[in-house]
Amino acid sequence: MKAKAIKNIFVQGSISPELIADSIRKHAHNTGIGGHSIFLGQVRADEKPEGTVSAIDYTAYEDMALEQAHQIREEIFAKYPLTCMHIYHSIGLVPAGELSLFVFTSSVHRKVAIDACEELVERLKGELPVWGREIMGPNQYTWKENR
Amino acid sequence: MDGQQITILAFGKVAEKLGSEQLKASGFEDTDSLLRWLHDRYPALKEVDFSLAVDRKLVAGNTGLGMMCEVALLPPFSGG
Repeated sequence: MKAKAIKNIFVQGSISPELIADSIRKHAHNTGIGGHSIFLGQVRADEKPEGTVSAIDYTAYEDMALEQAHQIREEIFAKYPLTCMHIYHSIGLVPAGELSLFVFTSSVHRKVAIDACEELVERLKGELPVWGREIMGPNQYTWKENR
Repeated sequence: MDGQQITILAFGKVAEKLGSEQLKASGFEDTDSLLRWLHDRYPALKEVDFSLAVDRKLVAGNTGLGMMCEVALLPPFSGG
């Protein structure tokens, strides 16, 4: 079997709602799909001792992150009978209220799509070498911590 | 290990403590000896929690270093 090429998952800045709409539209021809599951991560304007978060600036160890994402993708495909899987993660500055993560799974039936989407999101958040710097003002920031 | 080329990459909070995102080193046969050298040179490193990747794979415990390798210092991930 030919090894699958490593896909880029990074998008500069926030993920636009148009990209998501286009991605949904592109699946219309695939009439074997009976259910999609979508997770959208949005930047919160958290109140911190240093101020209100106005944006998150994402950096990544991109080469390793893409290899990790590829590995996770293969493992999720092996575990669940999915028709499609798409992953987009922001890099750079994403203002509060905008989207930084888009995970999209499709399957013949809903349960597989929902379970795969959930596991994929958890694994991406836990295993991708990506870091968010929460910006509060011109010289104010803290390093984000995942829960 | 004559001619060894280790590229050290630092990210996030670790890069801040080092004051640099990339360093070069040579003459270390494993990650333990490299870490001792880094801690001596950058005492602020002990203030941050980080894990290690060698050639883009996370490693647990002491790991041998080849002639050409990339060692990354990774603070806790916070993507998404």
